[in-house]
Amino acid sequence: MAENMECCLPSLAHKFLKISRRYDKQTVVYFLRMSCTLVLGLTAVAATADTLPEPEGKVLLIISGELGNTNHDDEAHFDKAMLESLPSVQIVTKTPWADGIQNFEGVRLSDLFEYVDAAPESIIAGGLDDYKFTITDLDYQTYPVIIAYQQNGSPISVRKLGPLRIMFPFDDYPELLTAKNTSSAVWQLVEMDLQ
Amino acid sequence: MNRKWLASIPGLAALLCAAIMLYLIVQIDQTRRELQQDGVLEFNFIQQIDHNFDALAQSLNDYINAVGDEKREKMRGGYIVRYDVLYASINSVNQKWLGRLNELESAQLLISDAKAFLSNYEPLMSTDVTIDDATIQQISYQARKLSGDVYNIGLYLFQQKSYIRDNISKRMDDLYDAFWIFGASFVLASLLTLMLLVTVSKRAANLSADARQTQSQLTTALDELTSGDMARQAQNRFMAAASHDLRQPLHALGLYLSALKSHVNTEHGLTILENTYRSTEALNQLLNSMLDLSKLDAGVVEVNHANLSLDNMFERIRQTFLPEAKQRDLKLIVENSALWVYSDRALLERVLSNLVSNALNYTEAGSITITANSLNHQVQLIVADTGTGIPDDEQEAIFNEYYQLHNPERDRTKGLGLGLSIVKRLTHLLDIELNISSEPHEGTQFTLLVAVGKKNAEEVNTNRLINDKKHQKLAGLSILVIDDEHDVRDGMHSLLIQHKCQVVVADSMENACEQIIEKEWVPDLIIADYRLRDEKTGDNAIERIREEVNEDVPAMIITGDTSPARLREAAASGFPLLHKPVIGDVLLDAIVELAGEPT
Repeated sequence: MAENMECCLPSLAHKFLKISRRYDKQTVVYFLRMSCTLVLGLTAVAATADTLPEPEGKVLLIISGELGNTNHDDEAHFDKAMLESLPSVQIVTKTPWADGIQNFEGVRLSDLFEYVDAAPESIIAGGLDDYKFTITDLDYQTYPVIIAYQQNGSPISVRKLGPLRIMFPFDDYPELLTAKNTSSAVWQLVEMDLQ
Repeated sequence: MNRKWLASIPGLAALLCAAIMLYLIVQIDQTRRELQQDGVLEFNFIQQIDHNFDALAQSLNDYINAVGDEKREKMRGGYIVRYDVLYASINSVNQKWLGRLNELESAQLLISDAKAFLSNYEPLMSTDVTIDDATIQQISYQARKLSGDVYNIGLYLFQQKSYIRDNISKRMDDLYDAFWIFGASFVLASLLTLMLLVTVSKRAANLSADARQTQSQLTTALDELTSGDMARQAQNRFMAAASHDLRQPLHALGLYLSALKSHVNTEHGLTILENTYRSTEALNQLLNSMLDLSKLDAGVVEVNHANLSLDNMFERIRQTFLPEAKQRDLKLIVENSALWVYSDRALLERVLSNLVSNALNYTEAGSITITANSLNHQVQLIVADTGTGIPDDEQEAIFNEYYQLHNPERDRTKGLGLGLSIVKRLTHLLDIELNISSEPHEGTQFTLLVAVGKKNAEEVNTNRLINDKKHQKLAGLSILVIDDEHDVRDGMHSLLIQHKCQVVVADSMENACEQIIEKEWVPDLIIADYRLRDEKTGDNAIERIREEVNEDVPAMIITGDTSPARLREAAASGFPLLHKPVIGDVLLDAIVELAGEPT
């Protein structure tokens, strides 16, 4: 069996080379790209079949745009219980907006996006105060950026820049303390449009 | 200003430049940070507060315009949220976020106004409270007014920011310019310092070399000073100059006296001549002593070691000094030992002669004893006297030149005081150990340790006795005499004519050549003075004449020089050398010896 494999492998490579030679490079690349798109498209179609549970309490966050799992038309609506049902992460850090160290608790962006079956390249985050910021190039897989729903052990009121806010682990990752990231840390978060 | 300070200026400048550059780098970094931080975030904040006031006013208006309780209730929730959002943006955000705005009086006024506004209407912002339309309008109006203030502050900030940004940019440019200028200065100063350092180290090396040289010179000078070399050299120079001038007339005198002998007929005249001759001899001896010293110092004395019979040498010394000893009523005891030594005959004999002569001089009564015995494979020669003795503290000094014991009036009949200094030099030259032991009023004993010699049958008696027969050989010889001194030429002429020689005298090389050409004559012998006119020397003249007659005519050089350098030079010419003043017999001996040689 093993001998056969050893015999087969070179001949396969040989065949592939032959094919490569028969078609020019562009054609091959086009073919590959097409097949990739087809596979992804099929997966996406399969995913739309999943629907999220309906929120029971007051809706705090609306996620729209390119996402697989929804519960309200093309959007995913979340109440506090739904967010709390997802794995929670803590961030202990200083922030540019408040004195002293703050303890935030919330759901990781990566977890949330996985939950709604999305892999956005950019996120347009909007707040209660109509503030909007387009977050790009954010490596949410590496950095535990969260949507916080608790600060220092209690829910966050609107007057305390809640009830939801995007928070970065600035102290653990000092490189995150950039103008773009501080602008990305939208407080009183109500909506996210994933692109 | 001190050179050292001048040299350190570029170094200091380089250091200063480096310090300034460091300072500039810190400044540039700080400014860059400032530029980075003085960003757009404040604008966003201002804009957001403006919007929040505006939105509150709008939501209040919406509430008034709404028709129906249900709709109004919904709108009430709207303005309460807006109020909360505004509240959060004023109260829950750290004021430092405002940056430069904090320093602005109008901004602080606005913040306090906003806070007053918020606390003023706080009680009304609840779902339980229904506010009448007039109050709503009042709140809305105030919110809009505050929104206008925020907007103005935003404009002002924008204006300030533009200035500040420009200022910072300008400062940045200035800092960069300064940095480049000082950077260039630093490089220049460093290069200059490096060059100076190289120069200085080179100069230091030169200086230390100079210092070493000076030190060695000083050491030499000190050595000379302590050993007496310096004084001796000075004396040598003086003596060389003096004795050369003395020598010329003395030489002539000797020649004249030799020539006069046959012309004096009376016995009284002969006695006077004899005395004159002796005086000249004494004078010669004195000068010869000086010459010996000069020669020893010049290092031109050749040492020819041979096996010597001590008995023969002692006998010659006895014969030499016996007359004087007898005259002084002193006993001269010479003990035969049958021992042989290995040394230079003439020089060793000179040492012994000087010691005996010295002993005679310092012994009033008693005896002088010369003995030899074998000691540890060496031969010990002892010259002992019963004289005045030498005090311990003067035993070193007696070997110095011109040093004489008990002769403060410097009686020259007792010699010059050179005898022992010659002994010291000769024993040094011959590698003979010289010791002295003396007891005042008991006598002095000089001891010499000489290498043992082998018995040699061929040792011949070398007593140089004047042999008149020998001198008869001179007859018929034709001799050319070149000397620039008139007296010397005449003296030579008289002496040689007497011995029936054919003599031609010349005062210079050119004159000699002329005469030879004129007479078509070839001399059998040339006698030339070493120092001739026009910087010419005797050997030049001899070579020239030999060329002229095309024959290697035997030749000798007579020199009156005593300076070591001149003596070396004359000796280097390779011709037999006689020293002025030359005693007639010695000259005749030399002529016979030379003319007899096959050429």
